[in-house]
Amino acid sequence: MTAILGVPPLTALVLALMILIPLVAYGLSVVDDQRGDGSISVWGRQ
Amino acid sequence: MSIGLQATFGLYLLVLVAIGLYFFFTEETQKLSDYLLAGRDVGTWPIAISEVSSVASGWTFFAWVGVGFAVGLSALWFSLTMIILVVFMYRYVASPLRRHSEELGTITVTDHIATYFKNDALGPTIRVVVTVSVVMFMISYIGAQIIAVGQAMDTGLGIDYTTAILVGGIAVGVYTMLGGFNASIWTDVFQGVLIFVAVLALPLLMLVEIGGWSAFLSEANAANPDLLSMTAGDAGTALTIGVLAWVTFAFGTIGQPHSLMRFQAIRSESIVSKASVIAVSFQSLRLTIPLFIGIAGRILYSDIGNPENVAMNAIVDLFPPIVAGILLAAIVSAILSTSDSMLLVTSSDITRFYEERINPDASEATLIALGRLTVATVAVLGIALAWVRPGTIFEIIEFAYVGLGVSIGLPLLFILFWKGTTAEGVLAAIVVGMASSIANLYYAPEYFPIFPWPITVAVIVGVSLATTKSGAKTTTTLES
Repeated sequence: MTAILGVPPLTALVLALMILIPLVAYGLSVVDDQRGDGSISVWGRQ
Repeated sequence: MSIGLQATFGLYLLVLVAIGLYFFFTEETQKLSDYLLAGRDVGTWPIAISEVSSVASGWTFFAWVGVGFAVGLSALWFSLTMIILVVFMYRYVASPLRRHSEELGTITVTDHIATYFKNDALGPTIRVVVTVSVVMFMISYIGAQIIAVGQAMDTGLGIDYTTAILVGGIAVGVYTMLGGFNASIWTDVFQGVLIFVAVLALPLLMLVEIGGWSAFLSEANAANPDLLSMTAGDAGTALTIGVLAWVTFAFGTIGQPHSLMRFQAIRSESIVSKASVIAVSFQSLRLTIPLFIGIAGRILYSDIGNPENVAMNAIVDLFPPIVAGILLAAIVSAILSTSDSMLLVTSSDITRFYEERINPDASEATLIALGRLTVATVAVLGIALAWVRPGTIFEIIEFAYVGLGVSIGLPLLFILFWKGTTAEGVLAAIVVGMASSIANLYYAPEYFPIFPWPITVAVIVGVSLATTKSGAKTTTTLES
């Protein structure tokens, strides 16, 4: 199996998710902020 | 042992104690509820600061480094599950918990569960059982922090472990009793920066020492070809059990009283979304980088006696003595800060129990004195646990983390999201959650902590359905 940056593909995928999930959380907070009503209605519950 | 390292280490801790003493003698003693929740007026950055403090606990610099040393990157199953749960907790749980908590006037999650069923016949029993659960698991958690302080002082000051845990335990207790929360606000930002530097700089220095990324990969593969793999060399049933064990360990995230308290203290639901970004970012960093430090430690310190000491040894070996002394002291004081919030939660639960069940007319002075006595008692029990040392820091944290998740987190989520939850169901879940966690650990350790979760969910759903059908009406405080 081909390694990505020297680590196995599944490990590389999980490491990528560890970076992506905070970025997704940031994106959701931007959407929430733009709505301006203080609610968390994108993938969340007010 | 370098004099420069010892001097800066000692000086840093002395300054910390001096700041604690200053606040103890100059700040008016506040009510415990104000002290814990800061009048429910905590903003985004104080939450971020407390997140930095909690991530810098014994878990990050000791337990998780030891895990990286032993099993490598397969522990990322835990990390991935946990950061997904952190996002879930902020986006789904924080707002309703904060709202319910304000309506009920509750200050901790234990208090919340007990007060929710205050008007039910089982209400008093639930308060007793949920308090026992929190105290039992929190003593374990605090014991693990004292072991970490002991090991850091052992490395930083060169004193033997027994003396180190005694000094560390007393430091934890005194720091909290002096009003460490006020003091730590002043020091946490500075410490947060130091610890952030340590977490980023330490693996880089270790990489340089090893000879770069390629050398790291080849030497890690030479040490154990499974260190960089998500499967840890397992396949089939063994792999399934291994992954399930990491994932169910991470489920404990739903029930940590000192973290849930932040949701109760948050100023406004509108800042929850921003706070979630800070929380998940820090958690991502602290659950990934220490694993690499552990693997690098496997290469640089292959014959180390205790793998959980890799980061401490690497700091002493790779940083200039004065910087190493400051970093070790910053880690110790961050652990003190974490232990401080754990001790305060436990102390608050005991005090509320006394006020609710034993002496409703107790004066504020009596309650504060009882709170301090509880802190001292729990610190002594934590020192005793650290002295007996029933397992590694990781093993003790895993037990406490899962126990709290099962017996506190599950009942809380059911209360928040399922109206069919009854007092009988919650009481049964807390008891079975505690018992199944202990039974799984002692009778089937190779499957720990998989079993307590399905068992406790089945119990809370089954008992709630059964008691609702039999006509037993649960009276919740929110309804009344």
